[in-house]
Amino acid sequence: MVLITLVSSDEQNFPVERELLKQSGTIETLIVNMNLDDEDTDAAAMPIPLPNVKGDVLEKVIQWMEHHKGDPVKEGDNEDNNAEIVVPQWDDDFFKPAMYGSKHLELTVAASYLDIKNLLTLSCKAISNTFKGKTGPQIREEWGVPNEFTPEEEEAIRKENEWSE
Amino acid sequence: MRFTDICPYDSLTPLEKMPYVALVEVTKNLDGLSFDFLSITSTTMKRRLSELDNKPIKEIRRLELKKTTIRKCFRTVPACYIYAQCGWKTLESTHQLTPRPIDFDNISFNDILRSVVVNAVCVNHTFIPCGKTFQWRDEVINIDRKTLCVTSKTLRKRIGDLNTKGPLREIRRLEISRTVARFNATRTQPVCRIFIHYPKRAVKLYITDHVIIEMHIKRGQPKRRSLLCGFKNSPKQEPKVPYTIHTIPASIVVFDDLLRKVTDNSVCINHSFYQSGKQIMPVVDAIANIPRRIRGIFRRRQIREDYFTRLPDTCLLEIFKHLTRKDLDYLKGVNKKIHSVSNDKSLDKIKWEQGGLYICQRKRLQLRSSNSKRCKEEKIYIVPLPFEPKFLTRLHSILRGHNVKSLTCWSMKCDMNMDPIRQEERSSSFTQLIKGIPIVEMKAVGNIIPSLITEQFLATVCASGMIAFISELFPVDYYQHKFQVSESFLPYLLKFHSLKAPGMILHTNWIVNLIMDYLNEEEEFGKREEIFNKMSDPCRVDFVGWEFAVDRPITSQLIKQQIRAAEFQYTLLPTLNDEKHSIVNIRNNMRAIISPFAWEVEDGAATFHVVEIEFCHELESS
Repeated sequence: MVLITLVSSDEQNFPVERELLKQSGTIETLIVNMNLDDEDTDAAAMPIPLPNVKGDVLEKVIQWMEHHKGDPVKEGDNEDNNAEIVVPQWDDDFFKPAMYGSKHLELTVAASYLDIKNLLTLSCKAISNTFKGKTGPQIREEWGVPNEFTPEEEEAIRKENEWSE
Repeated sequence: MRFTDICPYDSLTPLEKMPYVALVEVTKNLDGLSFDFLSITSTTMKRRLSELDNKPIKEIRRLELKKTTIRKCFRTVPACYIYAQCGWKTLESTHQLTPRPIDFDNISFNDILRSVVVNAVCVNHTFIPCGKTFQWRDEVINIDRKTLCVTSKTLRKRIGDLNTKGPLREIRRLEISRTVARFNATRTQPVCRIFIHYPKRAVKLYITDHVIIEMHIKRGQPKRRSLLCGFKNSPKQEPKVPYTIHTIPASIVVFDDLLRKVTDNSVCINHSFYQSGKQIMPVVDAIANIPRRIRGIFRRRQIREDYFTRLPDTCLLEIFKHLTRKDLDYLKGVNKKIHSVSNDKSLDKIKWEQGGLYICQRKRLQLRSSNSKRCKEEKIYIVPLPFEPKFLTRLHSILRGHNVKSLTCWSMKCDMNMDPIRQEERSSSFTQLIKGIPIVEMKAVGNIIPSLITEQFLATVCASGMIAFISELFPVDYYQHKFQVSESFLPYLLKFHSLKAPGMILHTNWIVNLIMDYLNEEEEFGKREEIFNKMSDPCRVDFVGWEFAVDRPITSQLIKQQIRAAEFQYTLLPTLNDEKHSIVNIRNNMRAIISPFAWEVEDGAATFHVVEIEFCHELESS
C-alpha cells in the first residue's frame, strides 16, 4: 500500500493511501506532475504541501475520503439535476455537527480547492438544504449574516420578487 | 387574592372587556417557552417563566424582560413583566395582592411630572433607561425644571429642553430615568416611567411584587384621569413603571434564544423588550416608525458569527446551484454579497424557464402569469385583457421581469366610446409596453390597435429595436384609421424585417426605390434574419416583408420606369387572379415579390389599395 504524505498549512503531516487521493483532482495532478506514481520515486519522501488547508480540516477531508473510498469520481462539470441530489445519511451526520460554524464552510472551501467533486457537491447540497423555504431574515438569523440593506433596498428587492409570489 | 375578586369580569360591559391589557407580573405560559437560555440570575424570574410554560394565554401583548442583578441584600426591579391580553377570568396570581384605589392627590409624583401629566401635551416622549437617549415629537409646556427632583443634571437639561418648543396635544408615553451615582459607579434602574394612554373607558391593573393598584375610569371623566400609575412600595413612594399603552408603533424584539421562541410563537404580537444589557432590535415592520437616532441604539444580537458570506464566490455559486428559483429570490434579500452572487449568469437556468408564458387576468387590475419562472428569450402570450392604461402599465412591470423577445396579444377589449385624453393615455402606455420588444404580433384586437398605429408610433418602436410588427385585422378597421406617412419615415421602414400595417399609406412613387434600397442592404437583412433564426419555433414570424397601403395602384409600367435595370431584374409573375411583380438584386440575389391587391370599402364606393412585399433570397423562392 503506497502512502503519500499531505502537509497542511499548520504543518501537520497526514499519510494517506494513494488510492484515496484519486478523488482529489488537485492532488492527483500534483502526483502526476511529481511522478510519485513511478516505482523509482520514493513517495514517502516527497510530501505534498497544501498551504490552503488547515490540519483539522484536512483531517475531516481524509475522513470523508476514507468513507467514500471506491466511489466513482465525477469528471467534468456537474450537469446533474442538482435539485434531485440527496445527501446520504452518513454524510448528513458528518456535516451536521459543524453546519453553521466555520468548520463546515472551511471543509467546503477545501473541497473546492482540492477539487473533490463529490465532497463539494454533497457539502454544498447540505448547506443549500438549510435555505429551503426560508426567507431572507430567517437565513440571516440562522447564519448570523448581517443585514446590509436599507429598508428602501429591502423594499425594492421585495417588489422585484413580488411578481412571482 | 384573585384578579377576578378585584374586578369581576362579569360586571364589565362588553366594551369594557375588549381593549384591556393587563400588566401581569406573573402570567401564564407560552408554548415551548424555556428559561434555560435566558441569561438571568434571578430565581424569581426563572420561576415566573416556568409558570408561563404551564398554562397558555391567548395573546401576549407585551413582554418586558429586565436583567436582574443579585446583590448582597436586595434585588433590583422585577426581572420580568409580561403584559397579557386575556379574559379576566383567566388571570390568576399566586401573589398576595392588596388592591388599593389610586388617589391622585396623594401620589408623590414630583411636580414636574405632574405638570407633564396634567397638561397632557406630550406625545410619545421616550426616555431610554440608559439615560442618554430620548426623543420627542414636539415639546411640553409648563415644565418647571427646578421642581424636578432628579439628581441627574443631564435629565434636568432634557426636561428643560422640552420647554423650548411649543405644546403637544397629548402624552402617549413618557419615560424618565434617573441615574444615581453609587459607590460602585454603576447605574440603577430607571426611577420612573410614565405611560399615558387615553382609552375610552378602562379599568386597569398594575401589579408589583406587593401592591396592586386599581384605577377605575368612568365614562365622562377627563382624559387625564385615565393615567394609570403604580407605586413601588418603597419608603419614598416614588412612581415605578406605571403602565403602558396597548400597542406602540415601535415595538422591539430581543433576539436571544428565549425571546426568539417567544416571537416564533403564534400567540405573540407586539413584543417590546427593554434594553437590559441584551442587544435588541426593532421588529422589521415597525422600524420605519422609529426615529433614526433611536434606531441606532437597537442592535441585533449576533447569534452566530458570519462565516457564510466569507465563502469564496465559486463556493457560494456551487451552493446556490442546488436551490430553486424561489429560494434564490429569498436569498437575494439576505446580504449584498449574496445578492450579487445570486445574479450570476450560471444560475440563469434555474431562474429562467424555456417556453412561452401566458399572462391573463386574475382579478380586477390583477394579472397572473402561467408559471412562476421567468421566461427568457421566449414568447409572451397575452390573452384577452382590457385595453386600459392601468393594465398596460401593470403588464409592462410584469414584462420587465422577463427577457421578452416576442409578444403576442389578441382579443384585447376596449370600450368604444373613447375620449381623446384616454385614447392618448392608452397610446402612450401601449407604446411603453412594447418598446424594446423585437417582435410584436397583434391579433383580433378590433378597432383599438389601428387607431394607435401612427407614423410616430411606428418610428418610436422601430427606434427602440423592434424589427417585426404584425397586426392582423379587418381591412375596414385599417381603412377607418388610415394615415399618410411622410418621406422621413422611410428610413424607419427599411429597418422593419416584418411589418404589417395596412392602414399606413405610402406614395406609390416611393415603392420601387424603397424596395431597391432594401434589397441592397443584404448585410442588414442577414443580421435581422439571424435574430429570427435564433428564436425557437414558437417565436418565429413566417412573414418577412411589408404590407401597407398605397395611394394608387402599383403597375408593371411604373416599376419598369423606376427600376435601375443594371442592378435589378424585373419580372412580371402572372397568377390566376392577379398579377405579381418580382424584383431581384443581380448582385446578391435578394428578391422582392410585390403582390398588390385592392379592398372595396364604404360598401363598394371606394377602393383601398394595399401592397404586400415579401423578401427572400432568390434560391429560397425558387
